[in-house]
This record gives sequence, C-alpha cells and structure tokens, in this order.
Amino acid sequence: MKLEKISGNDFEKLIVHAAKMLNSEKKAVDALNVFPVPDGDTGTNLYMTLLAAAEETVKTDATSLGAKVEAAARGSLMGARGNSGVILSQLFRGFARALAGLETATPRDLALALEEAAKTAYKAVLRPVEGTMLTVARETARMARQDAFNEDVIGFSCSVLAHAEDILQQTTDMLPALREAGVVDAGGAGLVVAARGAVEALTNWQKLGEVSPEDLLQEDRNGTAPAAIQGIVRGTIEFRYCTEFLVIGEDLSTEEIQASLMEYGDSLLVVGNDSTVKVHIHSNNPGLVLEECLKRGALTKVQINNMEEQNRQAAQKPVKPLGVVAVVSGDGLVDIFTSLGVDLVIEGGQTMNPSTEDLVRAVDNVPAETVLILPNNGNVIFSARQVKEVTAKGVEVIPTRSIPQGLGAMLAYDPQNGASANHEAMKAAAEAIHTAELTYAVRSSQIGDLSIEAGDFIGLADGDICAAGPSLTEVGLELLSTIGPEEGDVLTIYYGQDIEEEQAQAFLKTVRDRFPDCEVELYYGGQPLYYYIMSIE
Amino acid sequence: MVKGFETQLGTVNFTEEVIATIAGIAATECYGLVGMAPRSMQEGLAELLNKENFSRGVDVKLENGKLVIGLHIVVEYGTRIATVADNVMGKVKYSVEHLLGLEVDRVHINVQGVRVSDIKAPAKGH
Repeated sequence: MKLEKISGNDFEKLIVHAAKMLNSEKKAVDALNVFPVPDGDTGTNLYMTLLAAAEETVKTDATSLGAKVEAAARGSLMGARGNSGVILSQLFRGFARALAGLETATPRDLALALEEAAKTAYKAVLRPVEGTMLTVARETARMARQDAFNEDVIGFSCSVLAHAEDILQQTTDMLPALREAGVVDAGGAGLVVAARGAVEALTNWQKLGEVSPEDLLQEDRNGTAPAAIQGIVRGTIEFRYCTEFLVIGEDLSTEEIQASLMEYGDSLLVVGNDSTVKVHIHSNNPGLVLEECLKRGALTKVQINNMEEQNRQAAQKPVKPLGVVAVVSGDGLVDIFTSLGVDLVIEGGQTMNPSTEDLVRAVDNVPAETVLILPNNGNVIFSARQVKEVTAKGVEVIPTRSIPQGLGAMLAYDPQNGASANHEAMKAAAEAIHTAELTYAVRSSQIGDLSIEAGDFIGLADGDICAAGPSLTEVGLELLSTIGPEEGDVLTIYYGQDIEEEQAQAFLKTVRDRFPDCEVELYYGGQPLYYYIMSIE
Repeated sequence: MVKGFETQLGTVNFTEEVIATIAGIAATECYGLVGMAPRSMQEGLAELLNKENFSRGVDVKLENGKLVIGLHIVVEYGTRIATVADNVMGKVKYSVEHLLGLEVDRVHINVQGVRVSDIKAPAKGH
C-alpha cells in the first residue's frame, strides 16, 4: 500500500496511537531517569502532555491537516508537564507553523516541518545540552531531509523512525551521566516511543481504521486516571455563563471574532476555519455574544450553562474551620489516612507527583476554611507551598517528606485546635519520626561505599540509600540497624502491593526477633514500588 | 556567608555568590528559560562588557536562618510559563541541595521578560 499524502484525519489517528504507545511504555521511560530510585517521571510527563495534545486534536471541529496539527500544538501547550513536556509543546508548535494552512502534506512537507519543529524547540533554551530529547529531534530532522523525495508517506516515516532510533542510541555517549548509568536519554526515548506508535498506526492502517480516536482516548483515560480530582472548582465567579456554540458562514476570521468578543468575558476560545468557527466564552451577557456572532453567520449547537448554579450545588456542604488534604499512594495507606481524619486524599507521590493545580482543586473541594496539606514526599512540598498563592482559602503546609511522617503528623492532629497550633504540633510530631523504605534499584550504580546492582533491593533511611543487596529481608534488617531503634520505640511496617501477606508476616517475625525491645506492628499499605515502608518513633 | 556543614576537622561555609552561581547554572539548563535579567546596574554593565556571570539575576538570602533563592528570568514566548517556572524551581532546589548539601527553603521566580523570537509579520524588529 502506498500513501502519497497525509490528511488531518490521518494525523488524528497517528497522534492518538502515539499517545497510546507512550502510555504503555511510560513506566519504562520513567525508569531511565539517572538516579537509582524509581521516582523519575519523564515518561509520565511526556505522556500527559501528548494526551492533552491528542485530546485537543480529536476535539477540534476543523478537518484540514494544518488545523489538526495546530490543535495538537495548542493542547500540548496547555497540558505541558515537566521539562520534557514543555519541549514537546515547542516541537509541536514549530511543526504546526510549517504545516499551517495545508489540507494534506507530502513527505517533503513533513521533512520541512520536522526541521522547523527542531529549530523552534532550540530557540527556547539558553544552553542546549547535547544528548537529550532536543538532540534526537534535531538529528532526526536532519536525516529526514534525505528522505524528503520519497513519494510514500509510509516509507518516509519508517525511514525517519529508524534514524530516530539510531540517534537515541548515540545519546548514551553524549552525556557523561548517561554513559555512567549506561542508558539512553529518557526524553529522547519517550519521543521515539511516541513516534513508533504513530508509525505503527500508519503501517497497520486497515486494521485500525475501524476504531475511532474517541474510543481510544476514552480507554486511555479510564486506564490511567491522573492524580486529578474530579469536581468543580469553587470560588467566586466573575463571569457566570459558560457559552458555547458554532458559527457557520463564509470567510469567517477567528481573529476578528475573537477581537469582537474580548470585551464580553473571559476564558475566550475561538477556533476553526473560514466556514466553521467554534466559540467558547464565560460571559455575563450571553445574549450579546450570540448577537455579535449572528452578524457573521448562522449559529448552531448553542449551549449556555450557569456556572454559579453548578458551583452552588457542588458547594452545598457544611463548612468547618479546619480540614486536611494528603498525598498518598496505595489503597491500604489511603484507608489508614482517611481513618485518621484526612478529608481528601490525592493519589500520587512516588510514581507521579500531583501538580499544583491538582492540589488547588483538592484544597478547594474540602469544605473547610483552612486546609492543612500533607505532601508526604520531598518533591511535593514545593507544589504544595504554591497552593497558598493561588487559592482564596487559608492553607498551611506541614512539610512531611514521607508517608510515616504524614501519619505521625495526623496522629497529632486535633480539629478542635486552631490551624497554627496544629501546624506546630503536627510538624514537631513528623520530625520526631524516622522513615525506612525498601525498594529496588532500576539500574546498577555506586553510592559511596555501596555498590548497587540493577534489580538489587535498596534501603533508604530518611531518604538516603544506606543498604543494598539481593535479599529483601537482609537489606531490611541492615536498614533498620542503621537507624537503630532503641528500647521502647514503636516500629510500624506498611507492606506494599507487591508483597504477599504471608511474606509480610514472616518479615514481621524476623524484625520482632531482631529487635525484641521494640513494639513492632504490621499493616497493609498497598503502595507501589516500595515493598516496605517503616516508621520508627 | 551561609553555614554549610561541620566535619571533625572544621566547618564548611559558602558565600552567597557560590550559591547564586550554582543556582544560575542549574536554572539556565532548564528548557524554556532564555535568559537571566540583571538585578542591578553593575550587573547590567558587566553584561555589556560581556563578562560571563552565572550568578546574574540570582539573589540569595537567609530568612530566619533558612535559605531563600530568588531568580529573575526571561522566558521564551509560546512556552507554558507556569510549567517552565515550576521546572526551574525544582531544578534549582535539587542542584543546590545535592551539590552543596544545603537545605533550600524556598525558590522565588520573577519572570522579568518574555522573549519573542518568532511572531510572523512585523516589518521591523525581531
């Protein structure tokens, strides 16, 4: 089969498959981050960004290739997460600019667009580091030039993908950090995985023809619910009516429509082509907005919703003075936190850090005047502190760096007391707790005197790696002796989703035998990646 | 001087300049950041004189004994500035904490400028 040109419809399928492929490989990409603890999130960040791009592409009513790619660029811009996500959004931006106005594209157009994509992406960085996702994009674009006169899009794409895979392999030798770890660049790998998904969609055209992109995306969303909390964000609403409709006419200009509607409200979005334009606006005068657009064409699919009403329904919960939001992963731990009085749990932590936006939404959803946040992870403390700036509610962040610290803080929580008294007490309680965590090394490395093999179990005492080896129990005991529980200490063990109950009971017995002066307890945590999380107080 | 850590043989302290340099290098490796805005006249002059200065646009303070870093940055137009700022914060905190062993309490980002390098059409300028 030969395909001379690629259409907007084709592109839609490609991007959806690219997102799908990245979704199934994102864990592997995450694991490439150059640090032996499996906390990296490059793959996840790239996937979330690509998913936003794919959703926007499917959503747009325009059909030309130029408009579809433009939608992808817009989606990726709004959904960009992490460094790699921002780079991806710039690649899309350049790609869209080169393809603007085209109904379909030939391999030649695509080769030029790839170059423009790389060029645009390089503009937004002060000191480009070679051996990263940027290198992969640029070198692939350079090689694609040779294939520009191929008359078959499929042949062209397969060749470009092969180049990209070659270049990705070379990244290992470009950066010392990558060479030491013996891996390829994570961002580059994510890019290649996505490209592979797109090319596979092209080569399996017939088979995939029957599945609609909407179905695929739906499946994706259900499969990997992000840390986002469902619900309506409360707060004061300046513009009350969410107004959405299509304008159908001739020679429509989105810029003109946009300019004429600017004064009527905010969240204005005008997209489309010269015959169909979609308008979305939050306004207090939906009538005037409709009137204005009637001058330009016929209106259809008009939808006006009163957001204040929606909000009021969402907000009809009694308001109390104090509430708590915690970031936790693992069903057992979620139950424990909830039973201790946490109002809302955000799933996340080790594998995926919730964004500030996720936290703001959670805080706004808790029916309390002041909300305490337990980040339970060093990397989340930062986003949590930002919440303060964004929400109208009072927010206090208790800087808990681990699950045990979070639990310790919750034990000191007393909703009868004021926010600042609780803050003090909870912070002090958290600081008094030592955390021991057991996980595995995603690759070999050397930390101080410790030589770690890929797949070894590693023990972290308060965040620092201090034990490693092939036996989980041995590493666990060594880890605990490093912290050195004293007589009368309480040692609590939470076992993860990868551990069977009998296994956990056996470990409990071993620990009790080794530390007879301590009180040892065992609970089901259900957390991913970490076999055991232990607290010593 | 910022107090670093103590060993059996003595203490290790860092000047604010050292911390600012580390923070500046970390920040400028972040994607989307295209420049640092000078904090003062002297810095502006140094820039004109083409002096390489990684601590440009970085201020380092101690607030109640805790380390607070402020960055004055220029961002590329068309990137999601909120995400870029978030990336810079994370990267700077990580680098300062891991290279110097200091705890960073806060990182403030001031977006001082947006560089527009590719808007089509204007007859002159960019």
